[in-house]
Amino acid sequence: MSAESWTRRQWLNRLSLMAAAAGLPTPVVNAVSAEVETMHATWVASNVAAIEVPGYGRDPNLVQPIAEPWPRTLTPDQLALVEVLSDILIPADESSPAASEVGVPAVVDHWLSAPYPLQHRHRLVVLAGLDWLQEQSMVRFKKKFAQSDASQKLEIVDEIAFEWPPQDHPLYQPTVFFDLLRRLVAGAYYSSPAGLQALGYQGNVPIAGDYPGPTKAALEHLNQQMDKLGLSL
Amino acid sequence: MGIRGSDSGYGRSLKQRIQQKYGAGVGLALRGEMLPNANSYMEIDERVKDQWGIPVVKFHWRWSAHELNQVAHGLKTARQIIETMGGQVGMPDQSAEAAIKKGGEIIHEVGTTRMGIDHRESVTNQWGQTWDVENLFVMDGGVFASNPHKNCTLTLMTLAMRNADWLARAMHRGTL
Repeated sequence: MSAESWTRRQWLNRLSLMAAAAGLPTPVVNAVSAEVETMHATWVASNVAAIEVPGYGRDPNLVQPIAEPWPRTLTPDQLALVEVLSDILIPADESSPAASEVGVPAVVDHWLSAPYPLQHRHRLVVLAGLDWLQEQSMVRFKKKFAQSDASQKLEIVDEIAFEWPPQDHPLYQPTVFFDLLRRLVAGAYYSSPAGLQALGYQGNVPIAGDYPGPTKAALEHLNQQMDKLGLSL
Repeated sequence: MGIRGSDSGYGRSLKQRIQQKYGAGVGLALRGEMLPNANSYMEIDERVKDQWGIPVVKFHWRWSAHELNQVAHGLKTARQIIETMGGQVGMPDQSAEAAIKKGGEIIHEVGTTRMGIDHRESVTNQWGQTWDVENLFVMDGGVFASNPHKNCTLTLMTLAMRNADWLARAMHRGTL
């Protein structure tokens, strides 16, 4: 994020804080807590340029794939935030590990840094969303999201993880962001070996010898249906 | 990258839902035959010419009640199949007119110079030989009398082989 947009963001947030403190544009005058509950950081769209590196090209070499076809672009701070959010989305439980334990943040970074139009659109949403989280935490708790404690993080996430607000609501874009991140994190997690195991995914299983045909139960069912139609196998 | 369908929330309950729903999505696509109709035809454009000054062709297109009824029936049946399986239909109700693809969108275009037994209703005979010009043959998908949707390539090649064989015999006999 450039210094220019930081300045704009800070300016906007300062303005909204001042306005709220003065009670000017809002009918809520009595309770500070009511003001805090309705205060939202401003969503500032990301304007990062599209990544221009060759990538895989149109016909990737699948026999000898390129190990790092494009550089990853998330900053250490952004990556740390993605890691925190990944583990909120997919924590460890009795049967499978947390997202960060199977490398999900690196996959999300890899995805967002790819030089293609879809990934560029995703990158714009995620970068703006990460900034928004930091600022929303500033507005609420006077510290950045990364520095807030676990319950404060969840308080912010709860507002963008469940309900879809109307499109003109200040939480609409943050909700779009969190929904996208949920898809990316879940996609990365459930394509990892640990995630596939959690799904019970088997994939194609070779059958040695002759094909055994359908199960007896399936064959009986089929025969019954054929009988009803007056047909036979 | 992602997961099928939409979800909400986060944490252990999200994990459980994804793992429970994985592999439980079923999608059905409807395919059907298009019958020829009088509103779908090509003709020579009265105004537009190509770079050599030759008039271009112009296509007219309209679905008929046959196709729209097929789509309406298919939508109803697909819905019944999923409900009978105990599934929930995620797609909102759609009219046949809204659900049907645009003409040409599935890119299995055949017909236009169809074969037939009557020169007033067809362009070629059963051998791909045009009624109007004795030594002009159509050896591609143009001779299809209707479009059964899937998949025209093998039929097209078979017709070309069969008609080429007939053409070769006619040339040997000296009848052409």
